[in-house]
Amino acid sequence: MTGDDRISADFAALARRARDRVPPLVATLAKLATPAEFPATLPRFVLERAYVHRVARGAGGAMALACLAALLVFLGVVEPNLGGGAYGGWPEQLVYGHKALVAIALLCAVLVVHLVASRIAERRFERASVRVDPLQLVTGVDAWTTVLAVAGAMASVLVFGMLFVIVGDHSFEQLVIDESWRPLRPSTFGMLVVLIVAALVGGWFAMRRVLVERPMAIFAGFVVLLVVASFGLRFDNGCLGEHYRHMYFEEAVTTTPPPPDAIRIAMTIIGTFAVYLVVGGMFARARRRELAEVAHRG
Amino acid sequence: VDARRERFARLIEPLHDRVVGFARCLCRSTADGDDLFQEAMVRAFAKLDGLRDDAAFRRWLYRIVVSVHRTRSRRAFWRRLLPLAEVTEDTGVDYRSESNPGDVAASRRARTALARLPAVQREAIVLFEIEDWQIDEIAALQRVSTSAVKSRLARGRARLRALYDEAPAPAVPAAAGETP
Repeated sequence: MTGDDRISADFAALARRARDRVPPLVATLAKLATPAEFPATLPRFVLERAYVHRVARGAGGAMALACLAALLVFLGVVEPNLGGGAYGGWPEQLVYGHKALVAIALLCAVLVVHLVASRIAERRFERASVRVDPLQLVTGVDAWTTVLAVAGAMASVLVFGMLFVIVGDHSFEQLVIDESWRPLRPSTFGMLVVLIVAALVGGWFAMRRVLVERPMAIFAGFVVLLVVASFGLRFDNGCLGEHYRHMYFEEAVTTTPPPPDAIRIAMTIIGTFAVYLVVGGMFARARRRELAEVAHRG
Repeated sequence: VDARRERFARLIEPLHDRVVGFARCLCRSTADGDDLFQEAMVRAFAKLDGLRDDAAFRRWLYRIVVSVHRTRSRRAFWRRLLPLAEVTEDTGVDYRSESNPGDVAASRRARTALARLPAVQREAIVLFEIEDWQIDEIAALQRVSTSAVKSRLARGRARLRALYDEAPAPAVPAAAGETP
């Protein structure tokens, strides 16, 4: 028997076996359901979990937006020299020149709110589901939690992207520190507000239309983010990390000149768009998983 | 919704067993095949209103199965890192067959070899060799030219031949759960 004969014989056996013990058509039809057909009495824990996750995501996004608004006011009105270097002792040293700490504080705040909102949502679901259809509760919070979650994540990246990538910490040195703070001047501050609003609108449409059908956009966004971050680091640390060579090896190097404003702003916009794809896609997937689980349990 | 369900039931009835078999042949295990089939059915049912010509239902349905298969293949890329022996087991579900042990071993051999092909080649091979589709039908389903399908079939067959040469029949024992 030749190799081709063996393959054909094995395929014939596979075909016979694949059609062996096929589930009946009735069983196939019984498992079909569309969202409109979800029964009102789905298992409560499935709906509760979807509800709690959605509310927690929305609350986390809202907290991020609130913190960022406070941060922008702080930087724009009270103390614009967050990245200006730490020359004092503790606690000044802890705050000034340590933008990463601000980012970590924001992350902690978001996580705490996420946890607290989860607990509150659990209790609210317990109480409200007695008098309101639980499925209606879940679908009722879908819109605003989605928008808040995506907008919070995007706004965080927009602001911290600007602080880390555009303003930078070290590379522009004192010579250009004033120039590097230009994006925080009132006109650019207004642009940030416009962009955050645009993020809200864009996030909504991304969640609803595009990313649900095209999860590959998530990966595309991730790649764009990496590229933008790489360029940002190149500007921040100087070409081939010359800033660090200068700092640690005391080599005499020429500091990389700051990039033009247009490039820095474009980098922020592109980076934000990338995050909008990544984060929006992640939330879209989480939402789709919830829907699939609800459909499956139903 | 009832009308849609009735229409779907009427259209799927003559094809049901064949499509289940097709889905099972595409996957590494019978359980995976049944999952693929059910996922494709849910998607087909949801999109049924978009199908205007009932005569095109067969190709439309197979295209959905193929589409879901591609998605699942991409999603489960990490499974390529696992030994084939682990992922071809029909674990957890009682799929003990009425068929003879020879069929079990042969189908397992075929499934193991098919699992090593790229998804597009696997689809073309299964449609052509097992489902008896014509090349132009496969081309329309995969949305490629007939020459591309011929190329996929030739490459897939060559790869299968090489795999069979590497692992002769006695070297692949039947899985414990598959013996009748």
